Amino acid sequence: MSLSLGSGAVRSALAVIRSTNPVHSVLWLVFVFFQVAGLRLLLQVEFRALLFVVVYVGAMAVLFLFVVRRLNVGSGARALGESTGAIPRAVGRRGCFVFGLGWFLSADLAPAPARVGLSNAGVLTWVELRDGFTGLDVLGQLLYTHYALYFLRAGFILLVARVGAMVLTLQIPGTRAVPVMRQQLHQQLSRDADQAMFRVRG
Amino acid sequence: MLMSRFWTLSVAGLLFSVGRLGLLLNRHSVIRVLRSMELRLLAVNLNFMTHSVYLDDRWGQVFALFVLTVAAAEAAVGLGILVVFFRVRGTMAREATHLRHG
Repeated sequence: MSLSLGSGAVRSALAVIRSTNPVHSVLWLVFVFFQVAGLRLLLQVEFRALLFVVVYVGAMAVLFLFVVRRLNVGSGARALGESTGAIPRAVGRRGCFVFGLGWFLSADLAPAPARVGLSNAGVLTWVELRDGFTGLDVLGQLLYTHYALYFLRAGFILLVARVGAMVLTLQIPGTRAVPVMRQQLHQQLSRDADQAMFRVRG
Repeated sequence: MLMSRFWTLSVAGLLFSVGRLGLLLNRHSVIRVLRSMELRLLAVNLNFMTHSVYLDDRWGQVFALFVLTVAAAEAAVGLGILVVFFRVRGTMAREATHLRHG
């Protein structure tokens, strides 16, 4: 099960970066998300797997599909790596990465048979059943107590991203005029910290 | 029975490699670059989750939630920039992002 899910995820990821049709590519991406969510179910983190499906497939993939269809960039896409001459370089770097990863894994994460617990041997651990928390309980207790500040900051990041996305694509109502936002390099570079933040007196 | 951590970690590494490959080999379309970024964040997330399960430390899962948040924010802002970029330049090519040349 995990073998087929993992290899399917990798093959779908290859299809994501290889397919020339953006809609197909986004659909392959959805497939990757589903398979990775299946891997997480096998890791016994059920709530995170479901949350993952909701956020990635429900929000992000739909957003991608919306933008692809709206901008209508379906035809005329060039194939991957075409006319760049970048393939040998990329393959070399990839080889270095994979070699390093394999070395790291084999050196530091050798299997430790002493860590196999009772639950792996098919024996019921009554202490776990009696006093255990579900994954959702543990996550909620951590998020709302120890990591509450981080949780709030994550909320602020989402808020800023949402406002930013709206400001970027703002259209003045009633007119067809689109305020084009261009990058003003001199303005951007001549900002300093003392003038960037100020208090509004009211 | 949990599956082998090596397999999950290799899947995460391979997904990261595929995302990196898509980023390296891609000079034409900004939206493909965004998709590759999503793949890489996905791989990192899976890595955090696997280590969190096998090292029995829940902080990895909490951190994976934050990675998820940042990935969602990145997709929203990136696609917003993409829409504006398409409006201004009329193309999705990554070569057109060099502002100094035109």
